[in-house]
Amino acid sequence: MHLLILLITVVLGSNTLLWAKRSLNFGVFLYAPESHVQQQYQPLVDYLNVHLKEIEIKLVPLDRSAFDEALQHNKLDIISTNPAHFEVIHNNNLFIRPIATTKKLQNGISTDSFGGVIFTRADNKTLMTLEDLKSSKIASMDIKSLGAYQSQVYEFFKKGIDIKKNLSVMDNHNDIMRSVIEGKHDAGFIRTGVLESEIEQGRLKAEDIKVINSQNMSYYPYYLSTQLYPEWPIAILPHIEDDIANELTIALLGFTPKLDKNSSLYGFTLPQNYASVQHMIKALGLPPYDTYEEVTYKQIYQQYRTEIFVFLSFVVMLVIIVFVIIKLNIKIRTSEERFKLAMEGTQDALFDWNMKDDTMFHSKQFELMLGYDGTELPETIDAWKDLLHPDDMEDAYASVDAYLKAKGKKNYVSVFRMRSKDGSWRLIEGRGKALFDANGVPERFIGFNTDITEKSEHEKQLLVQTKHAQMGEMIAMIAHQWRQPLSAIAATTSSLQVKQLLDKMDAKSLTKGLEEIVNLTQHLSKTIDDFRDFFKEEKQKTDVKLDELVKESIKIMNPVFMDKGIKLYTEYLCDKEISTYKNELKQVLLNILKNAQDVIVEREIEDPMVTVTTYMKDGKYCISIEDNAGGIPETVINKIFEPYYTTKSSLNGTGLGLYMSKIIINEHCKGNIEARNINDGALFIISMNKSVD
Amino acid sequence: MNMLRVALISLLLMLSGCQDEDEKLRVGVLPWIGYESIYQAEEFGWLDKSIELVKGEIPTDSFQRILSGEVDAAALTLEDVILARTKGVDLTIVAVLDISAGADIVLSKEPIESLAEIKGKRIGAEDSALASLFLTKMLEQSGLQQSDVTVLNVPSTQQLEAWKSDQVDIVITYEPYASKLISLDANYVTSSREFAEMIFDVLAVRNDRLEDREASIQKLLRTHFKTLEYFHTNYKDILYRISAREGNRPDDVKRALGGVILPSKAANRVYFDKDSTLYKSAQELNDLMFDKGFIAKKALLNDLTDPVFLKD
Repeated sequence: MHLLILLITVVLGSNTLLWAKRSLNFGVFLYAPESHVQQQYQPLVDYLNVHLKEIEIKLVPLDRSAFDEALQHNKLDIISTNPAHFEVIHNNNLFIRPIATTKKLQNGISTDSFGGVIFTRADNKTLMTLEDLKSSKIASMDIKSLGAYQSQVYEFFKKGIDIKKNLSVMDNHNDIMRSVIEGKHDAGFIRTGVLESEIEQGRLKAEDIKVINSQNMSYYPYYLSTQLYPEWPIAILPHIEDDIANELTIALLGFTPKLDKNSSLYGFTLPQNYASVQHMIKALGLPPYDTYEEVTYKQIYQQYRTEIFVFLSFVVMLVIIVFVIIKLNIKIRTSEERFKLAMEGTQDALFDWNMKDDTMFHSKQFELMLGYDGTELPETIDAWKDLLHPDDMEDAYASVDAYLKAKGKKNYVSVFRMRSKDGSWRLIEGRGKALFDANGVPERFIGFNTDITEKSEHEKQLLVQTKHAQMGEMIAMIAHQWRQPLSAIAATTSSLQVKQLLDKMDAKSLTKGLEEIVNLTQHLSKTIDDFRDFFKEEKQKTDVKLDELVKESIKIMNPVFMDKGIKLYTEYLCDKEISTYKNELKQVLLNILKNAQDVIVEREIEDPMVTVTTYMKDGKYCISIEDNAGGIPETVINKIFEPYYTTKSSLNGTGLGLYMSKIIINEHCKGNIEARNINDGALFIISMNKSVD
Repeated sequence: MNMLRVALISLLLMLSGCQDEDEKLRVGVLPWIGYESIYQAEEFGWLDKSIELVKGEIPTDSFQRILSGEVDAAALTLEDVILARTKGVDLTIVAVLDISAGADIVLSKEPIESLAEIKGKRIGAEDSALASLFLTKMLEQSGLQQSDVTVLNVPSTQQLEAWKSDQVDIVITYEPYASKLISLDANYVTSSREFAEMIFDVLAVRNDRLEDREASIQKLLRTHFKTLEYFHTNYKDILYRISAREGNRPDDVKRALGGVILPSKAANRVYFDKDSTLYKSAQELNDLMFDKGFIAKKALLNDLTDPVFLKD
């Protein structure tokens, strides 16, 4: 009976004991054959089971998929795996906490960090650096291995090399080592510590291998080619109570294994920072960071704001530049076309004389002008020289020299004769402008040549025409001026005749009458002289006081003005000599005065008056003629100097007067004539230099 | 036409902006645990090619070089910055590299219970403003006079030799040199831990080189903070790297690193505030250095810092 009770008690007690010991599954990643893993971890599990009162630890070695599946079903309580795998697990379950980091022992030195080794055969002389491995065949473990794949790939990645395509995946470290030693692969990736243990066990000779990218870490006990990562973590699942977790951690930190040749597990230390592992697998895009993340435009904008801004500015700038260039191009093309059309349409020939190399471009018109077809003359200055009239050579050169000496301050105008293809001489007018460099040396001389042969002939004809017309007007004036003296002569003669008929003629009366007649005829003769000078062909310029010249002109016009009741005011303020073509200038004055008279008569102006003034202004010799005849209509004021333009009825005007006046003043007297309206009439101003030269 | 000109000029500016080479920045550095990030950045190949490190051995190397203008910038102690300013070379602090909190150490051959026991001892110290201040503080706390001790000018590079050949009883030293003495069983006397937020090490730039080297300075600081981030995330990795470079054991490096505060960019911005401990320390040091006769006149401390380089 006692025995029975005792038996029951023992069974129950042991049952109670069995119930009290809670069983925890310790999942360990199967990184090597199960027997090896068992050999490494069983001493730890035994130690824990001795030290933990309430807990029974069960070692569960699992391969990767079984490990993940067990976690999915929450069948594990404690885990230990490589840090890369742990990063994946941790991302699935944020409450899994590492409570310790594994320490390993090698060559009598413990370490809680590991990394990767890149090795080749010692006799391989070509492989020295990571770069040398770019095209090598490399044996490695699979992508999930931190020590024999990821850590090495990351070192290449930091150097900008993608080595993944060179890798052949092996099943275990042994195969990698053998493959490299046998020369099947140029190099191998292997976890730190493996080579040393192979050497220690006599399976490998240290002198047969060579490590690439060796790190400067003399105190680290193993061969090393990569940065270091913390060793495997031991982590607990979130459902483990704090008390048990604390007890377990204390036990782990207190674990000091018996030193055993076959065991490298040396103990545990406080959990390390696993951020370096996270950085590495993030950079390589490995699980759990391998999924494609949808990138929004906003993210892109935020990340690359500066780059986008710079790029867009660049594009905008480029568009603006292209746009501006196109616009400029169109502008240039348009103006080129316009210029070409103008060149073809005009009778002017363009020349562009490059004075540095003495070449001369001339437009087609230059040749056409001289009877050539446009392709016959060479583009040199000699082409121009050869055709120049020998007599005009000196003048033509002199005028170019004078222009260049004045550094472009004067206008270049030169008239010379050139031989056309048929041998006839054409009268050519050259106008142009030179470009000077910074030192005032002329570089280019650009301008136009114009054939003025016809124009010149035409002007001569016009001059004749004008003279004839003016002669007619003069004759009318002479007739007008003669009428009174002739009447006086007639009257005197009649009176003498009557006295003789009545026989009352005495000597005194006769003498007096004859004297009168002589005076009158002298007056008539003087009048003729005045007018005759006027039409004389004038080859030579003369020196004459401006006031005197004007007075002579006034003298001719005054009788007519008095007859028409026009008051003539004069103001002479220029008692200075000028050197000019006197008669031509007088013709111009008479023409303007005559015009004034015609308008006054036509418009029946009351109190008509004309004011003539001579004066100096800005070194110029000026004559102004002002009337009060109501002025020139604004619509025509710009045309009055054009040929054949007249405001008068055809009976009175040829339309050549003011045109010829302008030619005379501009070209012969080298002066200027302008017309404008002032007050209640027109004002003409002639301004000239002291000399026509 | 105007539009074209503007467009062309802008384009030219943009192109020239793209191709513009940064002005070369010469930076004086020397072995000190607080400057390790600059050395490591160089080893990683992270330093821009416009930056050239001019490596000295002892603090006076960098100080003399920045005074003479041989370097444009240098990693210096706050004391050196003040000293330079009194010598007419205006320096601007662009970043705080570290605050010493234990890595400046006084070690003795015999154990010392109280500071008063240093009386009569031969103290080996560098001829630097910092070492002088350290000594001053020690004497102050011990109630001793300068004449109570024998001060020997022993550059940090020669301390180990002087220690071994028994020329000194006490040394005022710093990491990495301190570790070498500690490994010879030296005894701890005191350290910068006793002077909280007093010993700043900064990156200072000559004012006359600030403007045209702005881009390079910015690049250097960006790299420095990136390296600090690497220190943070790859702690063990960096311990091994520093220990290999210094020839000290990883555990010694760990202790040395524990003796400095390496402020991040965000922490740096705080120091650049006018009410910060950096400014307070500068003021205190200025007064102290003047009182003790290290400087003939007080330095002007306006525009001591320029936070523009801490921008992102």
